Amino acid sequence: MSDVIKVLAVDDVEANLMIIRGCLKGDGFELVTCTNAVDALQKFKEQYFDILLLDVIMPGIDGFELRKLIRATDPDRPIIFLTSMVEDKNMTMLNQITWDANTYYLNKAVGKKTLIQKITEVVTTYRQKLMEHKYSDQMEEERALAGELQKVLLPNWCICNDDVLFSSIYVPYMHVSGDLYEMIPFGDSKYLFFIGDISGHGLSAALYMAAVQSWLKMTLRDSDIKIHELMSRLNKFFCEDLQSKNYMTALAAVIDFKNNHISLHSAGHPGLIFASPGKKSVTTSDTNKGSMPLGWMADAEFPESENYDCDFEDDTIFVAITDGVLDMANEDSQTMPEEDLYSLIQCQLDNPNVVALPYRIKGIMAKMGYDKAPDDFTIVAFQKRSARKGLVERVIPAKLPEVDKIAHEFSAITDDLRQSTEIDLCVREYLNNVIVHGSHDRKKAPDLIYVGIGMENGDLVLQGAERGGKWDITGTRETNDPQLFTPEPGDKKPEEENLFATSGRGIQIIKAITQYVSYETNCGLNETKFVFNKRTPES
Amino acid sequence: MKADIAAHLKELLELEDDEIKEFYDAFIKEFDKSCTDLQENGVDSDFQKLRIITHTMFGYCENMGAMDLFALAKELNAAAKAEDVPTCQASIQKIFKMHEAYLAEG
Repeated sequence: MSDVIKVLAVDDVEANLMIIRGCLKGDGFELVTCTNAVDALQKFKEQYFDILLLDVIMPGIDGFELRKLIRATDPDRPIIFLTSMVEDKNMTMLNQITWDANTYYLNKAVGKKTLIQKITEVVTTYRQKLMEHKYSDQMEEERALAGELQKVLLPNWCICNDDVLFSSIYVPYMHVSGDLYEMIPFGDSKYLFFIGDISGHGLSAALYMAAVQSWLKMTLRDSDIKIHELMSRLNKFFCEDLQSKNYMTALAAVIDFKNNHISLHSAGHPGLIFASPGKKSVTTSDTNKGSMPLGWMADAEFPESENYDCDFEDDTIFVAITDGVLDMANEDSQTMPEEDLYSLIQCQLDNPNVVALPYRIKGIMAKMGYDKAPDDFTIVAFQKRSARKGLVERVIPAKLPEVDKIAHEFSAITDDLRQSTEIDLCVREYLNNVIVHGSHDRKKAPDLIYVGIGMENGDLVLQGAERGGKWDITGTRETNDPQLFTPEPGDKKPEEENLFATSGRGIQIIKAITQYVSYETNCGLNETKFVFNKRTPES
Repeated sequence: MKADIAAHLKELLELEDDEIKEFYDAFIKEFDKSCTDLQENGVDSDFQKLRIITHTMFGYCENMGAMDLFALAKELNAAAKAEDVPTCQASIQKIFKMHEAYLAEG
């Protein structure tokens, strides 16, 4: 931005413009004059002006009308009305001028010095505001970038390996977040699970989060570390190396999926939730055991006696949260009681779905009115893989070459040639639609798709979950409610009924080979389920 | 050139003596135009038009420091507002006379 102030002056009386010219003659100002509003608007569209000097009473479009036209596209550009208030006993004109925060008034013939002083003052303020907006926009962009980088530091939202199926929802409060979590294998089906919440919001919390996340990855090369020792060392790192003014609540657990044993230590963090689909029960590790949050005192002790140890059932679904979940408020600023959260999880145990669970919890909370987030929001859920008997599950990148691999693998689960072909077609149609119509147009790096196939209540079921854009194999997806499609005789042709799935060829086949296709979306997670027709000896 | 106007312009715009003439001529041109407008509209036409003409006069009179003409314009404006025909007529005549006086001064 140049130091020269560009001024547009509008007055139907040439002598008045001459006076303005006389006042602004010399260095520091570039003046353009117009004797009517139409010309002024044209000039305003063509060139940049720092400020406008307007007469009020002009033939045709007057000064107030001209301001209205300018404000339609530019609410902030400073305007000074130069007029005499001879007739304004009721101050109607003055009121007209001053309702707009960026409009000022000067009496005609105020003199060169006053006019220059006022213009300079107003333009300086305006330019400062512009700089502040620019800086604020830049900060916002950088915060968004930092947020994206933070996501890279965190594990993928869904992990599926030989030992564990893991899913997470992570919603930073202000692009960036002080929440963090990790699921790090250190051999022999043992994992370190860590979830933490750094106090405060914004960039400082995010920077500490990045430091802690890196520290965890470095430290866990030492596979023999005990959980309370880990907390103690992390506390020292937090207090001494980072010299943080923030503190962190955290829960760390060593989970042995081979022997179904967990040893955890909580430092002021909400307890780990154990949900058992078999027993239909929900319990937590919230006992009297635990330590103070990390970062309060460098010499704080995290004794082994404060570890919480227990065995778990094969089918146990572990759910961990950060405080932000319990801080979600409704319109009356009330938060959800912790017991209600456990009940909500318990309700999910009739049809447990680890991948979808964190998203369903958030979705149900929102439906209950708890949708005002004052903090970062994180829920993770995981379950031992071997508990998921009869299921072939994969997490794949949303890339077309992956479709072929999965189609081959899934269709090989049966020796029945017809069923194998049906699975192959269904997998290809589903994944191609997700990738092409769901994830393909996203700006971010391709996301992951969870796909699983197996028997459910005597039916062969293919299910998928992904966080892509909208697509709909049924062609009817318009709401967030579960969609159910049951093919009926006389269904419309695919190209007529389906706005999204342009490939379309397989849709009719899918309709023919499935009992139904269901679709549900919760907080950005799309769940699709294909229930294949039952096989009979005749078929 | 009227001395009070010259002094006003000199002070207002921090002008040199030789620069004042141009501004004074612009003022006279506007004054000519106002008189033409007043002649064309007269008192028989619309009072609103008279108020617009006088408002224009306020602007350039104030700018140029022609306070005697400013006072007459104010008088005419008030009469137009009150729709007082005799006073309007008298004020217009006074403005015409002042116009002649300004022209006589050169």
